[in-house]
Amino acid sequence: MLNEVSGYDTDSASFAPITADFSGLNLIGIVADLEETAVSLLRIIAGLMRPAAGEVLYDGSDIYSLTEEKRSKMMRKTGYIFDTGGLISNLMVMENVCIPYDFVHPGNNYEQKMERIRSLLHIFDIDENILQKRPSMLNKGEVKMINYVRTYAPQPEIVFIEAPLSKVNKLREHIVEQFILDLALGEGVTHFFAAQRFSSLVNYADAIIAIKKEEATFFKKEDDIRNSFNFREFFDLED
Amino acid sequence: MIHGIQNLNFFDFLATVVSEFFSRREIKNITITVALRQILFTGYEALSIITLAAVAVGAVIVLQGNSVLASFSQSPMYYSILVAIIPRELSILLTSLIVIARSGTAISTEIGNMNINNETLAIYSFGISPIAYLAIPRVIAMIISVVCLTVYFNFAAFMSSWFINYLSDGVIPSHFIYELFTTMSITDLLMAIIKSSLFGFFIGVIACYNGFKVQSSITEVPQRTIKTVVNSVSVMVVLDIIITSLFYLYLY
Repeated sequence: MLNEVSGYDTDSASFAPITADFSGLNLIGIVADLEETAVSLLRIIAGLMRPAAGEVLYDGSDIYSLTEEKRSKMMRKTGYIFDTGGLISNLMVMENVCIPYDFVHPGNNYEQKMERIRSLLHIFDIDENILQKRPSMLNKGEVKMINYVRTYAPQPEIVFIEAPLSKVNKLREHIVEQFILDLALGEGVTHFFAAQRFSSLVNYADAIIAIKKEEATFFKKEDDIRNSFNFREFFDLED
Repeated sequence: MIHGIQNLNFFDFLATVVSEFFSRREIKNITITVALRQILFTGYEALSIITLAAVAVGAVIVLQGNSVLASFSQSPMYYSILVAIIPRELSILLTSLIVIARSGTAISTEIGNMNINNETLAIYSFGISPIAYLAIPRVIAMIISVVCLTVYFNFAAFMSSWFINYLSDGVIPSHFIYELFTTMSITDLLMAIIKSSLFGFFIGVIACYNGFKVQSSITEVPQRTIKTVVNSVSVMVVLDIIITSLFYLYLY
């Protein structure tokens, strides 16, 4: 839950205080006229960026007031997919994918880990040889896909995604979108995503936080998003 | 500001590194690999340049010492000068300077670039403290590397000194070793270990601190790398004066 959260960025992205309750919601979109604003709010909710004011509450506790140990335990249940970068450059792709998995499932053996990683590579239609490469050898689309594999490998309870389909190969867009929808709407894994302007996932969202000119508005499913939130109207876009 | 580390001043950062070293034991397994890689780079891969510096220093001291001391009929003082210069001062200072130039700058650049590419933020998002994962293993590796390289520097410099002595005056190894160990005390060894440990610790902390200070622009990386060199050398010189003074005041 967000309680009077407001944000700022080093550049121009900021937004007025917003309060929103996400209980029972599985797919929450953040759309804004500026990409930095949407990403800033997503990072604030994910616990990666302290807000200018307000609280981000998980189970009644402000994530930014937790002790380092409690924060660490909480963040092991979450996964974050960056739009750019995010892979540790001095490690092989395989090592990158394994870090969060090993941290979350220290008791699992190598076979269990590989089975999980292979199944994700298969779902996303990625060649297994990519695991033996360095991040610098990958193109931006491959980096994004490895971000997906790494994040989903430990089976997080909450996933945060920056620009879900950006940099994703056109042929994989549908696979990624379907995967997110299956997990969010089918299996109840909570997903937050940030997008500048339109993302097809907006059509399926349980809730939308729309930010225009630093003013944030929260639309929920029970308000019938499709009736109350019209993307093109909200952002004054021409057809 | 992303996750608080960039807002820490140097002393808070130092305190966080020390406190997380004692508190974050659960990630010990994944940080061991990071530390071993850093030891490989800082320690093992620096052996050739350390050998070169040590051999040069050992040889020069013999060549200069022999000619100057002989003109004052003080040739027996040769081993005292050798011990006062190499294990007490030069081995530690030169090793640290080489480590600052090679590894201090590399660590600062690496962490700075990681900040820009969202890599430290990714580590944070796993629930892993970037200080525990990136800084602590590097600081530990720095301490181990600087101590080991200092010991190696001494060995290589003494070998070089003996070899030049052997060529010029036919000094046999047993005589050289006997004279050396008679002149050298346990305090010299203690001073070398204490100094090199502290230098390694501060070089590591300063390099990591400056790396984490890089925020969003690639141009900050070289600026922070320069700060790493300047700060490390300044801290090293000040510490050297303090420790040497304390040793001469209380132990020699």
